[in-house]
Amino acid sequence: MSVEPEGITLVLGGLGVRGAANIGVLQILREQRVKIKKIVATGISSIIGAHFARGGDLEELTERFVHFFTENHRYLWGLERLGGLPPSRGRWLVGSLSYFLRESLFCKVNLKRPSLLPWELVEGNLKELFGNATSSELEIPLAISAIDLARGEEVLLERGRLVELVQAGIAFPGLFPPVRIAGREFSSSILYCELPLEGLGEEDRPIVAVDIPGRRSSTRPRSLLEIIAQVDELRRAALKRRLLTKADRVFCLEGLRRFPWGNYRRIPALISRARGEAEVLLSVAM
Amino acid sequence: MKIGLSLGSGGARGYAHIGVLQALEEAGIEIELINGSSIGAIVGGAWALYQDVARLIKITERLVREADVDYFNIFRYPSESRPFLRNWLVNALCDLSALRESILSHKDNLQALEIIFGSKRFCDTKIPFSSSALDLLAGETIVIKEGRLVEGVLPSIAIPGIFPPVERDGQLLVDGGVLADVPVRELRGEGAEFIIAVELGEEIEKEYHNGFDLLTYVDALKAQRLRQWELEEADFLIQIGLPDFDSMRFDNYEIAIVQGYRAARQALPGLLRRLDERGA
Repeated sequence: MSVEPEGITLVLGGLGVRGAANIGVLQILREQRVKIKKIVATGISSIIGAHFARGGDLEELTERFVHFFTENHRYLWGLERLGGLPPSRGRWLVGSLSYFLRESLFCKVNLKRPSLLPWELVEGNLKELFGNATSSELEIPLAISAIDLARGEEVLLERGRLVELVQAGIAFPGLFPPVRIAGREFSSSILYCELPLEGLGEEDRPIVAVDIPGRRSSTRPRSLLEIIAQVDELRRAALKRRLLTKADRVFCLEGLRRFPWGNYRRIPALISRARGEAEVLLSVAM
Repeated sequence: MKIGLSLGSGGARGYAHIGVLQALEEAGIEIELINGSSIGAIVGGAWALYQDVARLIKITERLVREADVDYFNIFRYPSESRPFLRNWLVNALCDLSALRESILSHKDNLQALEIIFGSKRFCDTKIPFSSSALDLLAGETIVIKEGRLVEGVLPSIAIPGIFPPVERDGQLLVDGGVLADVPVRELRGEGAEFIIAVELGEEIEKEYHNGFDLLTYVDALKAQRLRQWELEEADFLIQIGLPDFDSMRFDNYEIAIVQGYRAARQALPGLLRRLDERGA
């Protein structure tokens, strides 16, 4: 990769807080002075990508994430375990009941509203991070993948105010309300496909995608919710598998498979693990 | 050249497949092998077994009369019932089901499949037929082509969440339409050289009022993308538009059959041309 004088196009995704792992990957890429000509991101990686593209400090961003999730635990507790039951078989009944109560209550109250969380929860942080900056001030061009809800298709947003672009990237359907930019409404494309490779063309080559694969669910799902979650996971995996063939190189962070997407209390561990893996992968690539 | 027909999923819209079969038969296009997902597996299996459209229509009439196939009345739209009562009922059902594997059992499905296939087996069909299902444990679409037809088609209609997954040879199977809405690749694997795919494309509901709507919307986009990729591998595509047709109304079969017939008739000149180009 050191022999890519033009630089690479870096594609970042990752479901839920798992996307925070990309901080570790970017730290390594920055240290190794890998030239990046464009960043394409969705989900939580939109924040990370935008911050990095402005030349921002990644340590500071990690601290900000940790601080945000600690501060807002009282709003987010239901998300923590939506990723699924703990695999311990012995506690089946207790586990199921606790899962049922938490998720059923949490979802019932929240899914009837346009979204689980209001934008006010993150607006302050986004303003502090990006202020009134626009895409033209970025050191590295950035494209945020989102779903244009009126047209029903994935689009890449490349120009505009960073706060708005990032919001479109993190407007997880059901979690945050859709974002309105220039009269059009957008939701995050992360639940459509974890890695926004679809809109990329020849001029973007070489394309490097950072894949944070999900847990392989070979255990028998025991409840309706688990079955539906597994089906959803399989669909997303099928989409991702196909799209990954568009990438010239895939950095697959295998070690993060077992990390649940809602586990926001272990972000620093996630990042340092990703960092370790990225270092090995990059040394092999170079 | 072996011509194969791959029938897509789509609930009650799937009756349209019967109309398509009629049009293809009239045009003298000989289907040598057939497969399907979900309702496509039911119609495909019945066609492979009987090769007689009139009989398929008779069976449909009998199903509507005798089997309780109107599964989904609990999900009817609010205009048809009191929204509050409906929501309450759906919620209560979902709550009770959350600790089980599904909302409904396979009892009515089995009854319906018994009416269609009786004790016939895959080896009894006049042309090779396979049904597709998704194995939740391996995470891939599998092809079923052996054993009793009732048992082979059942996994293909086990809509996740609504019906329980079906266990078969260490696999945990659900509706094949999840990953292979129109199982074109699977039919290619069975040896088809020219594949006619029949898609019962449903318009994606783009209106949303709450988080649940949005999640459903995105899920539909995913399904659509996967379907498009699969259809690109077909040699000819027949798309059946059934605007305003409720996929959950299994008693409305006439409209779907007629629409399927019309769509296939319209597509025929193109299909014949394509077959001609390929030297069939």
